[in-house]
Amino acid sequence: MRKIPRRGEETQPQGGHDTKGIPDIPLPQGYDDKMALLRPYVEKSHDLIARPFYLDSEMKLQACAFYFNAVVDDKKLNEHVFKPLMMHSGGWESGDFNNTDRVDLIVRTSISVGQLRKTDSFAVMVHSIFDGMLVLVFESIQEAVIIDIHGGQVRSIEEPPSEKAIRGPREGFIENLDINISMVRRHLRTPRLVIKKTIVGKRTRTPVAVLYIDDIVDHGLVEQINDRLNRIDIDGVFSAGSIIQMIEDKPYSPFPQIWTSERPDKTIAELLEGRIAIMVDGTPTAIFLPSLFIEFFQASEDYLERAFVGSFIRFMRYFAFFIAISLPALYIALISFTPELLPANLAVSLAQARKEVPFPALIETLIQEFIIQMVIESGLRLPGSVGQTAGVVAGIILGQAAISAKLASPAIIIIIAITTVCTFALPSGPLVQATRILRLPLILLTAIFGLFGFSLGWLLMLTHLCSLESLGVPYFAPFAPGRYADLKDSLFRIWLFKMNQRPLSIPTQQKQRQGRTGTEGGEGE
Amino acid sequence: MNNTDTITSKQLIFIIIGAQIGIGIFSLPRLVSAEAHQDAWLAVLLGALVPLLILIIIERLGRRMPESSFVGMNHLLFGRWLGSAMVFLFVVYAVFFQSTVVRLFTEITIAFLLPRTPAPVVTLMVVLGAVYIINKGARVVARVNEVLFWIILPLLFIVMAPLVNADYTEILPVGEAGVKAVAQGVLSSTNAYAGMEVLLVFYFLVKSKGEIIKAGILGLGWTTLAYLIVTLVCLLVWGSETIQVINWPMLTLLKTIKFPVLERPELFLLAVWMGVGIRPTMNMGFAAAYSLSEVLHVERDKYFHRVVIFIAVLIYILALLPPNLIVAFKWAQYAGYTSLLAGLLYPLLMLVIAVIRGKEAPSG
Repeated sequence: MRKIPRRGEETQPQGGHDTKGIPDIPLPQGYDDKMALLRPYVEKSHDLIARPFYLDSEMKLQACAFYFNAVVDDKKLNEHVFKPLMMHSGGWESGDFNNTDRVDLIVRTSISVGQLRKTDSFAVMVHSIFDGMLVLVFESIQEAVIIDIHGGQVRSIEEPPSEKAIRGPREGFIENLDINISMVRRHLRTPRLVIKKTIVGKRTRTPVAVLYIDDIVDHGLVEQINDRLNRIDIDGVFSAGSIIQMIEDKPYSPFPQIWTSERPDKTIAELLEGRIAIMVDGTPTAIFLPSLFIEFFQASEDYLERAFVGSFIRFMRYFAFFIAISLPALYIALISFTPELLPANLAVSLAQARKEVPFPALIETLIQEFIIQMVIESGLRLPGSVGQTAGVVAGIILGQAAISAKLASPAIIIIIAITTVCTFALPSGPLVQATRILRLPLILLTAIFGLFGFSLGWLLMLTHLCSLESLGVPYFAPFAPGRYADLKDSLFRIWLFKMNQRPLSIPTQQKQRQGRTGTEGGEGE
Repeated sequence: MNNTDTITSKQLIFIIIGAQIGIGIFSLPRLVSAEAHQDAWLAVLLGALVPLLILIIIERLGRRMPESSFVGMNHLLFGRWLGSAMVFLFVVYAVFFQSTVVRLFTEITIAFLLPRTPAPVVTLMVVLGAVYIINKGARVVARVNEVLFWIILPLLFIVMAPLVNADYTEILPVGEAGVKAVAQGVLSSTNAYAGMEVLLVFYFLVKSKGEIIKAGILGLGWTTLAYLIVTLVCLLVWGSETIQVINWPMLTLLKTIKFPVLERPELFLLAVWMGVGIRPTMNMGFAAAYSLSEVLHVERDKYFHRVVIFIAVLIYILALLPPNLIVAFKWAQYAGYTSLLAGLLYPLLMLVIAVIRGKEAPSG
């Protein structure tokens, strides 16, 4: 079974916890026995290299290295493993060392690589090979040596395209877990930062790291996360998205309940607020629990701007969210149910524009909504410049033609355009997607019941938001349940020097974040 | 007690406001000024004393038995059978009262928003909305109350806009209507003030019992303030005679205001329309469903929704029974009087018995 290693134990991915399909037997002593055991694996994987060699130039001890081509770092392999072992190792044959001492001695004198460990279990050894380690077996020594010299090509560190910041750091996560962790570690130097690794996915065996700050985080939440990670029983983890879907509280909800980010600076901010981060190998994203609804309205550069600017932008985002969901619905309600609520001049000009359109307002809206959704989709999938062209052609030319052909009124084009702009003004991808969906039921309800349906739709949506929880923490806090102290970093973004408390909505051990008392003992020791 | 069923005392404030302020606020100025004339605002102010009394009685009662729920209290005080019967009666009251609320809400909706939609459909949507909320349990009901309070709050300021046309002589001379007329007015306001009795059920769910009286007074204070503002504005703008010919003075009041660009602030009210109308139903409905499920020993984790749907069906049928608006108003009036029975006499009876049998009831 997988388990998360305790603190102080191994922090490397444990190779041997999942023993399904591989006989969990102790390694034999003899060299040929080991080779015989490993033969089926070598035969099936042509990229698995078995490189026999002798220790020391005098051929005193036979050994064999197992590794995958291009997964381990060739340069390190040659420089720090093969070369010293073949050329310079010695001293172990003299004296009366037993085998354990011998292997220790070889490792300590002749291998100049940082990360290594030993094992006497066959299953652990095989898993280590397939996890991409270099494994050495020796004649007449039972234990195998596992060396981590991962190499190969990784993407360089770039600015994440989905979370661009005009000011502030440009660093973004990449697909390599260890490098991602190092990015966090480099900027968050407290010894209280805890990083636990585990493995998820029976066949992909993806390393997953759980990060939190020991003296801030609520340990009950950490336990829950470990629980949920351990309960995951799937073949493959392809990205952080798979993990999110397996551990979120309410899968039957259009709202994203787990906040993700590709930015190390954001990750650190979240950790400091008492959240727990999960990073998955192979994905440039960290996911954070517990997450609140308001987080999807916070962008990392809010905190770099002046407080007034930050607060203003926050307000605009909430407004944009409202508009993005309800503007088409409001249009239908006001046009087809209660035009008397519009200013008289506006009502007249709207009616004139709609006079020659053959469809009812609902159909008109749905057609335009469908078109814009398709434009967005096509723009997303096509490569850069082609996507832009498609957007321009479809958006501008189609819209203009539709108006000329009297298939749509100019008003609905404006309405849909504003809605779309507002949708993409939201700072987080998952919320944008949720908004795109949520618009539709509201349009339909409003088309049936007018403003009554509009208010019913919003009531149901608010109720749903109130009922959501992320890791048992109310998702709609600080609005409901009201934690009004937290409004300073949700509805507003007040001055940083006034944010002395961590958010109340996230359970933490240590409420005080900065300033004033100082008795609580801050970070570190 | 299930851990997910506790609420905070702060949320109790919003629950009490939500249970009290519903569509009653739309017709309150007319009902009260019909009796108390220009002193209607005085009657509204005095009317708050009734729920205050209810609050104190229930708080005293709850303090004697903080460990037992509403059903538990009844069983302790009246015995198993009679106690269950009393709870049933309370549920019947809640269902009846809410059916009149839903009916009037439907009527107003049809009159102002959906003139061509059949009443059963509108009623169905209201009831379904309530079912969805109640099903989610006490916490969500409390949170929804809280959110709705803040969303609806701006309405209180919008209502004050017509004061530009106010004529303060409309409420002068103060006290001319006489004691009897004002007392009649207080009686007419009972329907609007009904709702404090949800505390009978919610008392047990509140975490910090010591704060309940404070929360209750705060909630009642907001309700009174809202009613007072609406009544005063209507009186000052129209005078008590004109109000009599307007079915829903507050709504009509909003129609008289015209802002530049936005044109009619009514739009805001209509956008939060469901939120205004559904609050009493969801609170009382929850109280009823919660109590009923306990009396019937229904497993709340699994089958609570069946009880909720049962209650909802009853409310739905009862709401559609009155053949026309006049009868519906009559029913609402009776419901207001029964609220005195269920809200004032019933807890008082419980308190008296609790005091008499003081030694038997665990003191906590």
